[in-house]
Amino acid sequence: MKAGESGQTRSPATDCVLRAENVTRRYERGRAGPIRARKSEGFEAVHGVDLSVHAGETVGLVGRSGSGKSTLARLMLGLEEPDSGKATWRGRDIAHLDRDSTLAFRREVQVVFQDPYGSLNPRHTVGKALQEVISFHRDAAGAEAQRSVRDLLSLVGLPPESARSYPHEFSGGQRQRIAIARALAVEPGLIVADEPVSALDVSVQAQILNLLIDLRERFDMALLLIAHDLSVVRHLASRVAVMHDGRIVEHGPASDVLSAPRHPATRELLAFASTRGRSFP
Amino acid sequence: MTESALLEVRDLAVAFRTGSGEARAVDGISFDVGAGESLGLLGESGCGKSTTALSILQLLPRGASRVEVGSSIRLEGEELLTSSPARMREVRGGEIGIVFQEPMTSLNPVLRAGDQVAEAVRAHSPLDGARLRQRVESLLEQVGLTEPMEVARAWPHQLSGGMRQRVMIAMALAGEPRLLIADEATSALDVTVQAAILDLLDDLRRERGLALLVITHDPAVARRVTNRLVVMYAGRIVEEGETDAVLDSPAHPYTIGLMQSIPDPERPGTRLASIPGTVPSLGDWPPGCRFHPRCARSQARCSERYPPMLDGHSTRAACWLLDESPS
Repeated sequence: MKAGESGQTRSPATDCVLRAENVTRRYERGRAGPIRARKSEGFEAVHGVDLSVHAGETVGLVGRSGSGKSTLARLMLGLEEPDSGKATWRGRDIAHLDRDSTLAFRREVQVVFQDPYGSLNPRHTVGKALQEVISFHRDAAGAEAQRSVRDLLSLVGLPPESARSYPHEFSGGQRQRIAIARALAVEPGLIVADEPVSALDVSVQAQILNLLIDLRERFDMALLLIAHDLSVVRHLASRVAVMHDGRIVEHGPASDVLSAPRHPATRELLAFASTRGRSFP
Repeated sequence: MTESALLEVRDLAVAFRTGSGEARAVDGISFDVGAGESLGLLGESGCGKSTTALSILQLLPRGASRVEVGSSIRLEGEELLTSSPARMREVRGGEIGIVFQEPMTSLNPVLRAGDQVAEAVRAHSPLDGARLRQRVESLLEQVGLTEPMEVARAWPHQLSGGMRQRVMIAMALAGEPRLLIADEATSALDVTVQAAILDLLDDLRRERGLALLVITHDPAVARRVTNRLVVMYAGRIVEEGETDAVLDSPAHPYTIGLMQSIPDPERPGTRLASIPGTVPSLGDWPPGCRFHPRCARSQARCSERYPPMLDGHSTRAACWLLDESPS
């Protein structure tokens, strides 16, 4: 299970699922920033960042848009390669996994994006979308796969008939439940959730947050939660990392970071976090 | 609330054509916006808040929708629903400006920002040459853009989301409106940029008496920029009052549930008291109070008759729980 542990001596490292080690990601074209793209120089979206997620814990990654948090997530998911440093899964460099390990990595680490509509095939019924994952990763087919689909749907609070419907027939909150069901289909050890509730209505947000809380407890799952709304992160995360201009500028237990922020970027985010429709005190 | 409100909406009902006949997206709502006041319309997707905003400016798709007989929308006493198309073109961008959520799709990508503001200026006054340029720069300055000349020369894609939204506000101000409708104007922006844009709207209201009608799904936005708040659910107004009163001591079970859905910083990690079920879809609205199937405190009469607006502790709400008389 914990094969490939590479010389880490601290005991918490033994259950480290995902880690970024001094990763830097540079985009050559420069960003289309205010007024004018800075074409001459490259632009470092992520600069020398370390972050780890251990089994069963929820880590919150916060920052304004453009701070590099989604890029960091893509690096840790192996969707992009860092220019320097490395992203590791269970101690092994994600960029150099063999085929079997890649499959195991993709099974253990799942992702849920902000816009589930963009990540569901509009021509596939929900049942088909879920079955595809189940048969690929779990080698189940026929009646067994169909039973799994029904179980997954009920797990995320959708009726079993939903399996026959297409993504456009669902509301935003229901589509996010489907995306979560698909992530759960492989019984992941870690879900990376990139702004999972920011596109949803307030009451639907609460339902999805409750679902994440329930599932996390039930499956002892780790969660890397990326959000710009600190009230959401404060509610779920035990540890928080704050990104600003491609660097992690503050990092620690959620209660410390959010009650006694030291970096101006954290204070700025806190000042506008929506709690009870009120700014933070 | 004021003797002669700037905008008076009375019994507004808007029907949409659906697969099976017609359904009312907005079903008999009334509210006022006083001069220099900031009123919020708070509600979730499908509650009819944007339909309300669009029907004020008659921007709803013709053929697919219909404002029903008996509705009234008055601007300083003038009935807009029977105004001529020519008069409505004057009103849009003239007396009433509007800013939408997505500045990238509202701005023309192949026109420089300044040219688009100039177009808005010329729709309402015949300026030219240097005077037009001055007016454009002054408008861009008024919305807090510190380098107006550079912004005027920029293409929309070269501007950040917050700057694009400021350009949109400059265009909305070009006709010197009395009322600005902001339809989820900051929802696509980062929290910090959002706050800056809301503060700009508030400054415009204070400094020049610009009235605001703020359409939002976010209680925090309502809190920051509105004085009075109307909460909508399934095409109806369920609660109204001073913004702080509505958000801090709501009387309607829907508003209470909405506020309890927001994470409480004192109780991290706990399940949120979310509202069970989902918002009913258009044309599928339950009889009686439309919230009653999701309400833990519903009684027999809730499913029979729609409650009138009743006085609560510090707000007014359409809920039978506030009815003291025996049912």
